[in-house]
Amino acid sequence: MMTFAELKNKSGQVYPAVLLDSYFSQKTRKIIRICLFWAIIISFVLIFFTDNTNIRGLFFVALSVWAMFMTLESFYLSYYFSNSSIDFEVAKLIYSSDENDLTKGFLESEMGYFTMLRLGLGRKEIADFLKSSRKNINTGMVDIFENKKDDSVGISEYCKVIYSNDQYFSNFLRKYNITEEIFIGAILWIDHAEWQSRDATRFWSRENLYRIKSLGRGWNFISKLDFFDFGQFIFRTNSYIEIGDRWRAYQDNIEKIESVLLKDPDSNIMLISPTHDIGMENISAFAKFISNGNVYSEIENKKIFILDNKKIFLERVEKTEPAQTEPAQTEIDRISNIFQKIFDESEKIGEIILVLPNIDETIELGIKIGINIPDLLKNILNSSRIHLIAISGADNYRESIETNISFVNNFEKITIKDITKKTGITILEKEAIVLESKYDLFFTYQSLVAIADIVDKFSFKERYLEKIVYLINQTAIYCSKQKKYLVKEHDIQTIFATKNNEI
Amino acid sequence: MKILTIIPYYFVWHYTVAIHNFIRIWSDFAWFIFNYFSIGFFAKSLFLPIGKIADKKVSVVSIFFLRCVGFFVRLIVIIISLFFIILLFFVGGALFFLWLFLPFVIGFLFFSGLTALIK
Repeated sequence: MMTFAELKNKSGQVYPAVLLDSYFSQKTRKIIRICLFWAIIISFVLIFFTDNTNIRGLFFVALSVWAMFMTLESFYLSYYFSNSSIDFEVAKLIYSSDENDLTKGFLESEMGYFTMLRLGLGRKEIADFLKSSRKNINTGMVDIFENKKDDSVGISEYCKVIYSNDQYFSNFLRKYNITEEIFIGAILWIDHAEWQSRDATRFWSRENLYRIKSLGRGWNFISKLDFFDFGQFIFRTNSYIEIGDRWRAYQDNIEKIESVLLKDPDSNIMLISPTHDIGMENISAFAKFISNGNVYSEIENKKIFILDNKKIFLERVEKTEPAQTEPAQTEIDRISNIFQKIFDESEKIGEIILVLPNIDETIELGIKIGINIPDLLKNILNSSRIHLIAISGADNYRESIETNISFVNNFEKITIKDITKKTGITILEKEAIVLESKYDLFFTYQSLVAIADIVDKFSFKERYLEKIVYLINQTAIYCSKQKKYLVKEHDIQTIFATKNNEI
Repeated sequence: MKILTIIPYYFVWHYTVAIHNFIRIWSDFAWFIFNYFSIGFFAKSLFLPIGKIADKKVSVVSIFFLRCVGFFVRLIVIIISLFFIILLFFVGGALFFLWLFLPFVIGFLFFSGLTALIK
């Protein structure tokens, strides 16, 4: 916990950039730079047609002022992106707010304006509230709690203080059915979206350079190999073909898979999923992420091959069922040879990610005919040219796989969590930003909550994610056709009433 | 004029943090070129046949042909990438020296331009 004065002191880390922003906002600086740039171009061209020293003077003045603004921008961005323990937006609020009225400071800031807009409240409502008779909260009245995770102070910590200390403000929001949860949710959405968009423009950052698709990583010719008979490349699977833009919803799991694969050339993943289908959806989303060129360059050339149990086992298992007590040696040899072939040929190609979409079933099938599958996978697991992603159902993992510690130790475990209403809203936030630019719309935060609520309420537990993404897309299409810019809660209810059957 | 208090901050930043950042970004770009043109990857796979995943078996002659094409294509890309790395080295060096003197260069350009403008 810290006082406002302590927080202000902490904000000193980014003070120069905040000061610059208070005189020239980022938008103003951009306009100035563009004007100067054109002044440079025009005066430079005119120099060749006239012998006027004033034009030459104008050129040099414009060039020097433009260079100064460019260096100032670098200066600003250096502070903006620095790893300080205080959010830049919070520091801006602290320096720009009237110390006797923190709520007013927030509402009149850019962050406050956009937050209110996301909550469906425009300038008029804000102005009316500020004009109303209310008791201000000043800096002496508040204590700020740091984020428990990293002791930093972000925009949500700051705004929670305003909400909980200013009764008039919280009552004003409640009048519009805006609870603290919704208020903070809207702020975090804006904050994340702002960071993401600024980060994306920072092309020179190592993170963004890493993600530029390299030349010729997929140029290596691969002739048809025998192990292709025991599965298929992901781009030929239905799961991959059907995933479309839905892959974005799996961003969190994609990032986890990516970070494990980046760690080590011989890293392997145990994907513990509520169902195998959800596990495969995540793999397809990851494949889409790779093919879109968004992935780190180390893994952009990886080919994902899905092994098929049925092709490896099932036909033979059925045939050998009567002899299960004494398994035919030939069957064991055959399966062992298949795994050896998969290993040899994958090793030869290299840069391959093998996926066992149901490791739990594979192990069980192996046991039926007397084969220890973990033993057969040893070579693959230890190879630095092959990654293995094994997908297992959560219950089966606990019952039959987790007990084999030496086998489990070969994997990094990633657990796919059930999509809750909260994670659903986070997914919708990202989807909404994409749809807004596609259809020229503006989603209120309450409309996203309404989608998550409605789908949650009317069951669909199994395909929750698919349903919420479908509903938001249908809403966007509907509102675009109706030429509605602002998407509100009741629009969602209207869409749901008409599309109920499809959903 | 409170904005003028930014000047000392700026100069400290210009000759400390900014130089550090400049070198880091410069090395990131060098790494980027190396990575973008897949120099290491191509060096390792220089003699491998070029193409995609085939649906059927391919004859030895075709593979030999793909190997030759692959070798030349990869070699050309490596040569082009080396050109870019050298270019980056010189451009980066020039910009670095320009950065060191930039405040004076800006001042000089501004005042000489202003003199010409009001003449």
